[in-house]
Amino acid sequence: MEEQKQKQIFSQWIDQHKGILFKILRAYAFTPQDQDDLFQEMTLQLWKSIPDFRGESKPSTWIYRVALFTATAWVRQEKKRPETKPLTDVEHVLTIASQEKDERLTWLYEQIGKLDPVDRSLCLLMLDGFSYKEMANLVGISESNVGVKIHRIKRHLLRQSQEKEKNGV
Amino acid sequence: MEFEEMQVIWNNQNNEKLYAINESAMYASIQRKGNSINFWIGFAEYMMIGVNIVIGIYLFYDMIVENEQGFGFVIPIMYVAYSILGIFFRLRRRKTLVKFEETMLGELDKAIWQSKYIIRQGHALLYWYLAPLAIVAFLKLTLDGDYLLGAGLLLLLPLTYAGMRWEYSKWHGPKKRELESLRETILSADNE
Repeated sequence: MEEQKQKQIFSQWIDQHKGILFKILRAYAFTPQDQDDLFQEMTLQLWKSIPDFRGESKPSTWIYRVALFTATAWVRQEKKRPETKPLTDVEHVLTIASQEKDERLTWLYEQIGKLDPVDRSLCLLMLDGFSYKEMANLVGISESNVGVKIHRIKRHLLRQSQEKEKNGV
Repeated sequence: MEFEEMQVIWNNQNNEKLYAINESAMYASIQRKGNSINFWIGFAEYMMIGVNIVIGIYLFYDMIVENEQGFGFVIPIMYVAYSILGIFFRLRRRKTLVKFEETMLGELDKAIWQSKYIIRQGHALLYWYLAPLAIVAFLKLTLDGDYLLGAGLLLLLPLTYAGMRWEYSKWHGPKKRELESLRETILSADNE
């Protein structure tokens, strides 16, 4: 693939679908330093994946696939890495552009972040309206398994929500 | 909160821009990457200049002491010439670096250019430095009757080539791609 064409596709994807990257970022990385790190890793993998994109799926599905795979691999690597002190004197590449207006969304992200990496991926895909078949393809598990997991995730989220309301938080 | 409500909250976020790229932090990050590449290129250049001049002078001295003449002088001459070439390449590289603008994209272009430079230099080093030296040394050793050592020296070439390929695919290639994707990310953010 020509480099110019690759650049054009990349710019278009980042421009139109960066929301996907930001959602995955919030679900998988929780400190500004980690968010910088994962964001750069996701954009790098996305850039590298362009020559393999055959147009058989929608770009958003492809981006989800690459970004979720990168985030899951990143979480695995992070666990192996020794704990380091956050760099407090270093500015972060990604900054919060606007404060979250809806506290319930912050809570929802917190709950998603507590799930294991596969359930986290499924939860994001479910909320973004992917079908069971698409989710099965993206995550690499059977459709029936997706159904079971989604059912558990929904039940878990509802239970957490009820508990939150009961505690008056 | 029912699940349908969670879905509505989720869908509403699509209209909000939560993150922005902090340009000054990005600039600092690019400068750090660029400085790291610059350090390693500088280190390699000093090594190239220093090691070649020391070996060249030593071999000259050795040949004079041993009172050798003829073909043997080619090797020390080659070493000294490589050292001079190293100085020339370093000066030429530094002259090119000055041409990049002192902006974020300029710094990034500079870092990308330097990472491509490392890859180009690696190939040049093999074809124009290691291979000629090995061939000349092989001829010298063969003329001296030291066939086994000469053949061993030639066999080292494909091994060095494989090692270099591994190094570039593992370190320099990914670094270059990382910088290129970062450049496109910045350009996309700028176009908004």
